[in-house]
Amino acid sequence: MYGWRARIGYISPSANDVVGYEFYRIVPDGVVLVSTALSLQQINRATLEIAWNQMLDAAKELARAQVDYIVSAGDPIYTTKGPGSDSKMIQSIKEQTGLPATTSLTSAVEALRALSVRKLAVATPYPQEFCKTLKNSLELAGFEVLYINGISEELNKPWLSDLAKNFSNVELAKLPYYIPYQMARDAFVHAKDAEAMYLPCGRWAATRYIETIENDFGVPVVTCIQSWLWAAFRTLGIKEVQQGYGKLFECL
Amino acid sequence: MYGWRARIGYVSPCPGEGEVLDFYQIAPSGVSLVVATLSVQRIDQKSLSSALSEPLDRAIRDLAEEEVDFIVLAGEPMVFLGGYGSEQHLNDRAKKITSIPFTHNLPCAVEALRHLGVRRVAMAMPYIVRDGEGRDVTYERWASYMKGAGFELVGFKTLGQPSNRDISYLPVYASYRLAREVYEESGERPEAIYIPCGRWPAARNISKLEYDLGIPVVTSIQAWAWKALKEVNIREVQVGFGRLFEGWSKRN
Repeated sequence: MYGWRARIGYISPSANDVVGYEFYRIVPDGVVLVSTALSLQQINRATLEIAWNQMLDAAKELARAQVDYIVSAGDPIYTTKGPGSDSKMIQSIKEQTGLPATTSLTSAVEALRALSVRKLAVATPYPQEFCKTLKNSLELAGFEVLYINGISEELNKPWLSDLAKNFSNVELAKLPYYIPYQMARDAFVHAKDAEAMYLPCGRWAATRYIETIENDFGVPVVTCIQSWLWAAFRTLGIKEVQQGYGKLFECL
Repeated sequence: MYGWRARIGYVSPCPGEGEVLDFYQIAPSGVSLVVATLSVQRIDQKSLSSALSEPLDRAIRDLAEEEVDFIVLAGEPMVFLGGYGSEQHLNDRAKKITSIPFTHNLPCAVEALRHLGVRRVAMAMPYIVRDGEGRDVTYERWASYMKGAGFELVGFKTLGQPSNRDISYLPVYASYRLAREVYEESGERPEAIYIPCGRWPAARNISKLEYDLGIPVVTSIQAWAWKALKEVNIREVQVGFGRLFEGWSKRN
């Protein structure tokens, strides 16, 4: 049994490679990822609504697999659904499965609060529409978003303009893994008073550069995979992680 | 992009678990696993038939949209229940959906055993499989399949687990101990041990078994990883996954 210490259930919005790869670089021995995948490929309001409607059934499937904790991922699913939608989903999952749960948005907000920060620089691979909904969600949660970047077709970077033309999970997966660092640097340059940096999205290699960004810019960093793992470990009482994944894990 | 060298699409019969961990122990850097999932929990004809209908088409389509380089569908019972050669209908179905090369993991194991030049095979597995009338047909159907594939089944042992969740709970050493038992109890000396099922931690016991028993070992994940890497023209693996990879470049 690989998951003798904990089995973390994860609902991926799409067939996914990044999460499985990064998860096992962070977790200690005895923790396993049990994942189920939805079919969200093109990312727009219509497909996000479909994913929202499929989330609870996916959670029940993970409950049948007897996981210890459930993560529902995909910030745009919740930022477009509206304020409180993440809490509502967590409550529904708990009621239907009896299991503790979080969403990627909820865990990021809790992580930023645990770091006692308020002013944020946010680096994203999202088009402007989802940058706005994310900014709105973070501000409603009490943060001040000094700067948020994303993608557009006008960007003079080949992969990012391709992503803007076709905002989809496959195009996110094709981003070179240094792109999150470069987007983080751009965000920090425009928000030097930021107390922390948030890099949402579990489909780009943001977690890889947490320590690099923290060292270079001197502020704590919260990413998608790192924050929901932190939330799961906090609930399950696990206090060990592999080195290099940020100041957030000092808050365990 | 983690899969800059190759992205292998994987259809897991149920929420994915140890397979991802094992894959990244075997694969070289630059190769990622993109996971889509079905919902087979109990291993019986009804659950398998349900998974092999629309959900399978959806999963293949999801991986095609992810633009993976190769697709593997896992779950030996899906094929051995139908008899040797029945995997062809899965290949034909996949071809209607995508031109991306596709295989099922059972023919990968057959190809691996043939590559090793063996004929007398002993098998150690964790599950039992029931037919539509609830009869345990595990040995009967495996024996028929292996005979059809040209092998002589000289030993067969199973731990009798009825569901994927139950298999997940088996200790890491379970496959090692069962493989040793079937080797020692086989009527004729086996030329290889075949350990199907990607759900239990068999891959990490390959080198120990090969050293201790002196014969090659083929497991589920090792065999499809070998096939997939070969098909995408990669000949590098991490150290410790058996004679099947003889002649390949090995890295720690």
